[in-house]
Formats: sequence, C-alpha cells, structure tokens
Amino acid sequence: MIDETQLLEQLKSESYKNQAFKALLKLYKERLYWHIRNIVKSHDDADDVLQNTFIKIFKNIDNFKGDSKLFSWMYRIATNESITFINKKAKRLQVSNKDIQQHAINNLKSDVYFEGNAIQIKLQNAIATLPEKQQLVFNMKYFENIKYKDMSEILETSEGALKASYHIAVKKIEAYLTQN
Amino acid sequence: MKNKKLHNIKSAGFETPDDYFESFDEIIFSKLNTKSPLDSIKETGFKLPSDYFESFDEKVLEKELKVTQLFCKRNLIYISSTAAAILFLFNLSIFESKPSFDNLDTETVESYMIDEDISSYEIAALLSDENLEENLIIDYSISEDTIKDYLLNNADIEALTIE
Repeated sequence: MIDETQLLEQLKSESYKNQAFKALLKLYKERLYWHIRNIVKSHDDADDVLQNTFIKIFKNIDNFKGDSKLFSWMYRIATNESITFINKKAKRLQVSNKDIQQHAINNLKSDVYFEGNAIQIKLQNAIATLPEKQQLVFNMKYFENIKYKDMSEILETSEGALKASYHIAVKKIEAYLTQN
Repeated sequence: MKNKKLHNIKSAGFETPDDYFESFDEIIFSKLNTKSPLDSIKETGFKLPSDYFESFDEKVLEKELKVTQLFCKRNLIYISSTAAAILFLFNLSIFESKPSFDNLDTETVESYMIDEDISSYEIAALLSDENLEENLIIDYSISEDTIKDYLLNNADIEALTIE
C-alpha cells in the first residue's frame, strides 16, 4: 500500500509535487470519476467536475492538514464539486436540483455513454426519489463499494447513521422497482 | 424473489469514451501549466519620489497648522463682520426702492382691480374734470348691423329701456 505520509510530503514539496500528483491521478482518478458520475449522471458533466476536482486538489494540497486521510479529503472535494455543479446549473436555469437530476436521467436514453437498459434507467429514477445524502450513501455503498468506515470519514457522519440510511434507501428503491 | 430485484442490477450502466482515463492526465497538466498572462506582470509599475515618506510627515504637520489658522479668532471676526455687512445691505435695499409705475403691466392692474372690487365710482373719483376732453371720445363709425348684433348678444334690453 502506498505510504500516504510520504506521498503527502512529496505533494507539498516544490521538486516532487508534479511527480507525486501524477501518482495521485493514477491512484484515484477512476474512483473519483465514478463517484462523480453517479451524482451528475452524464459523462461530459462528470469530466468537467473531475477536472475541477483535481485542479482544486493540486492548488489546495498545501492547505491539507492531514487531520483525515488524503483520499477522504479528495472524495469530499469531489462530492462538493459535484453538488456545486448541480446547484449552479439549477440556479442558472431557475429550477430545483431535483429538476436538474431528473432532466439528466431523462437524457440517459439518448446518451452515447449509457448502456441503454430500461431497468437501469428505472433504478436511476428510483435513486432520484431519495434525499440527497441518502443518494450519496446508496451510490457509495452499492456501486462504489466504499467501506462504512471510510464513508464515515468522507461524509463526516457516524457509521451507524450511514448503515441505517443505506438500509432505508434499499427498501425505498426496491419498493419503487416493484411498483413501477 | 422480488427482494432480489435490486441485486440483479450489477452496474449503473454508465460508460466512458475510449482512452478517456489514459488521456485525462495530459489534460489536467496542460490546464495546470497554462500560464496566465498575469504571471508576467509582477508589479504595478507605480513609482514615487525617492524621499516621499520621509518628507510626508513634515508636509502634513504644515497643513494642519494652516487649517487651524483658518479658524483663528482674527479670521472669525473678518468673516462675521462681512456677513453682517451683507445682511445690513440687503435690509437697506428693501426699504430704498419705491415701486415705479413703468414696470407695472396692465394685467397686474386689472387683477388688482378685480381682487379689490374697485367700483367704477372709485375710478371716476380719481379722474379730474380737466382730463375729460372731447377728443377722448373716439370717433368710430359703427354700422347699424354691428350695433344691432351687439345689442342682441350682449345688452340687457330691460336695463336699456327708459321707463
């Protein structure tokens, strides 16, 4: 496993920063991409947010105190950037975040970078009925397979609360899939 | 079982373009390395005289003294006496002028007469007998028709008939 302390040291140094950053990209870009994609739904939007996320990481690495794991910090940035992205879009179009999300899901059918399975679109609609945080918990557990321990650090919520949230989410989704 | 329905869905169905992740690094680095035109501009370019700050204190102190002088007793006396003189002049000028009849226009006189309800008797009293001359009675040749029209439209017949 990579020595996070050493990586962080290199990231904060002038001479090793770029090299260390490349290592960071290699380790996390795919995971962060899918985390973002699950929130914003479209590839193009995910690409925008992922770039913003890494640029933010690069520019703010010196401010990272090390009071949490590096990846938790990065995931938090990715999550916030995704939500900010949706908020900005909603504000610009004078609609709600739910509307933006629904619109993105409706576009999936014609999206080149979507498998086009009816059941998967239904699942996206089911997830969209959940409150924002519950959606995050569900996606992170179900699709991203993030451990509750790590999720707790990223979302700054207790493991117990996350477990409860996840189980409620699953119940709601299953009920939606059955009824629709 | 119906409960297992969710677990039959293995992935979200999202896909990426070919080589997306491979080419991502390059894009990020080019964005991070893009030189902003601002990078070459480090200073404003503004300059100042060499001993500006040293001589600043002196300048300010000088100015402060001048300002306090403005409000000294001598100046206050000058200012107040000038103001008094102006006021005095202004008051005098009000009592000085008599109104001249040259500037009085007809409308003003008319509206005064209407407002004060000045009767023709009062006006007549103002006229002296010498003023009345024959040539004051203007000789107009008015046609009979004109007279008739006027009488029909304006005159009060009852008032004109002599009993």
